[in-house]
Amino acid sequence: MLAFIGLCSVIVIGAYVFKGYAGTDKGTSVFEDGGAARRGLLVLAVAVACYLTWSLWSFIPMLILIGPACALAMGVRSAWMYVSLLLMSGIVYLVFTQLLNVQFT
Amino acid sequence: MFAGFDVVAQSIGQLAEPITLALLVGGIVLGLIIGVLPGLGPPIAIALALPFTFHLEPIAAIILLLGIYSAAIYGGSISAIAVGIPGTGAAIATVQDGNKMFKAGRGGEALGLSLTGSIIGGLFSVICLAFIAPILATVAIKFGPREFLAISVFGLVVVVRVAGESLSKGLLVGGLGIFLTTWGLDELNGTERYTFGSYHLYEGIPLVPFLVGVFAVSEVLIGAERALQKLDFDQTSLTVKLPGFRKLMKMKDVLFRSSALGTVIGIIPGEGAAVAAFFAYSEAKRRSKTPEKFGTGHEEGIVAPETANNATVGGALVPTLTLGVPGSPAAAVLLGAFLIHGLAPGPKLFAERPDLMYAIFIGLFIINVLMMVIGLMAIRFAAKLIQVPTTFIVPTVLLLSFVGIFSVSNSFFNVGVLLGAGILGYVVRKLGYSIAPLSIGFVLGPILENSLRQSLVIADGSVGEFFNTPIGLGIYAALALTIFGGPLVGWAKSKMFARAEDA
Repeated sequence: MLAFIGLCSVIVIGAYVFKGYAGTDKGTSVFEDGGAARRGLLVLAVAVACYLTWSLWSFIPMLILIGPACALAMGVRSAWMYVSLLLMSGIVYLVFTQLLNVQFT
Repeated sequence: MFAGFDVVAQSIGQLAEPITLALLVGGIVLGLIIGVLPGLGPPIAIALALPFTFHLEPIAAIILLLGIYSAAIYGGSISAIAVGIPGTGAAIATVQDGNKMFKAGRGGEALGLSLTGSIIGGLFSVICLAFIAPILATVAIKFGPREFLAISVFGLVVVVRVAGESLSKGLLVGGLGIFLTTWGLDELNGTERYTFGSYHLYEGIPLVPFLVGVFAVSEVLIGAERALQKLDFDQTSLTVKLPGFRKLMKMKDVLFRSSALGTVIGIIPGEGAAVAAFFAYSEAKRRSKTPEKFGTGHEEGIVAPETANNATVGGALVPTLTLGVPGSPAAAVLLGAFLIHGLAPGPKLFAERPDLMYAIFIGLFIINVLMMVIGLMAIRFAAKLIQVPTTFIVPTVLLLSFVGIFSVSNSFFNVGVLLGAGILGYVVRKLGYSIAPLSIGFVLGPILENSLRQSLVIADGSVGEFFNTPIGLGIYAALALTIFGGPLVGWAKSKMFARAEDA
């Protein structure tokens, strides 16, 4: 039963990502438009992927991945934004490891 | 219950330490910055700062978070006025008149009015907090399970009523919040409940990762949806013009009424700041001689909501500090900060740590005074932060939530809880439910369950025993008044109008 519910959820989420709405009635969408649905759900997928990356490999790959992957999911085209996000990740890493002495696994 | 001048002097001494003062100023600046950024409100601001407080002394940590809390509520008004997008939910009511004034080239005046109103509301509520909290604590120390049960029921019902349009939706998510607190080992008889064989869940779902997930991660996902929206931002009228004494005296009634409303609504558990702002706005409009001016760029339309929303800070801390029952979602996250520092908010905290309590009162007073100075200096720079693209904010907040929660608990399981709670919060919001009842239900759940079970033992099968307590009965009466008061007044009014029309 849970597997069936899961399958249905995947189909609905897929419909939102690729079509921007699910079902036949566009008015029932919980998103503003197809683009908003895509961005929201893809960033959610990135968040889950980052969590899995951290759990399966380690913290550093997740740290490098999170900024650019989120930007890609939101459809960012500016190269500066990708560089800025990588810099931000570096700063966060330094603050937490050097200033707060946190050891990431 | 005055603890003595030596305790007050001790508290002032602790506040005067350079590190505490620096954190106080830093908290205000950080709160202002986060408040300005659309979507990131006080609960997220406090949640993101939590890991940085882990290594601090409790007083310094709490003062930093209080600075963030107060300034974030005020900061929301800057983006509401400058671009018509409220930085926080509390500033929604400010948009109508604030943005109209800004567009009419009176942005400096609008920013000055919101700053002054916020400071006055904040100071008023701190004074109320300093007087009410110790008295309530002396009463609350006599509270037993039945009184705490009554308070929990009161808090839940009120938050369900004020959060969102649908009562049934509020009840549903409030109930979901309570249900999630039943996970873990049963405190009374040690039975495993919904642990799914995982020892991580023996202590239940951790509070702080859950709240940060529900507020910050869900907001990140909502923010991602509108990440590519462009803002129309005119920077020409960003120089703050404070209102003169004469103008303030002209608005003294609005200021006083909004401060009182904000403080009272803050005390009642719920979506304090936003509800208080709307209530104060509609009350100012109702009592105004020129109500038609509201919504067209009217000064009172800015002062009323801004005074009320900052007045909720002190109000929300009254039940948080004295009963351990948060008065707002931000206070719920603050409650988590207390627990991280080994402090259990409640009536006993006044007796155990009076120095902390007085440091909070005096610290909040200083925060409000300093907010005026920092606000005047930093408003121009803070307003420019509105231009920071959401595409940058989304990954930053997501990463800070991940590493912040890990650093607070050193537990990867908690990062999973954060993500799970974030997805839950996102789904809940997408389906048109409010996350406030979910978070308050999650915080009140353990108090509700324990007090209910202890009350059942005391009552020994008698329903009457539940109400055989004067304080509890008073709380239930207040609850009945809250539920039935509005409809009864409406019914009476409609009857009166019908009679007048007949005559």
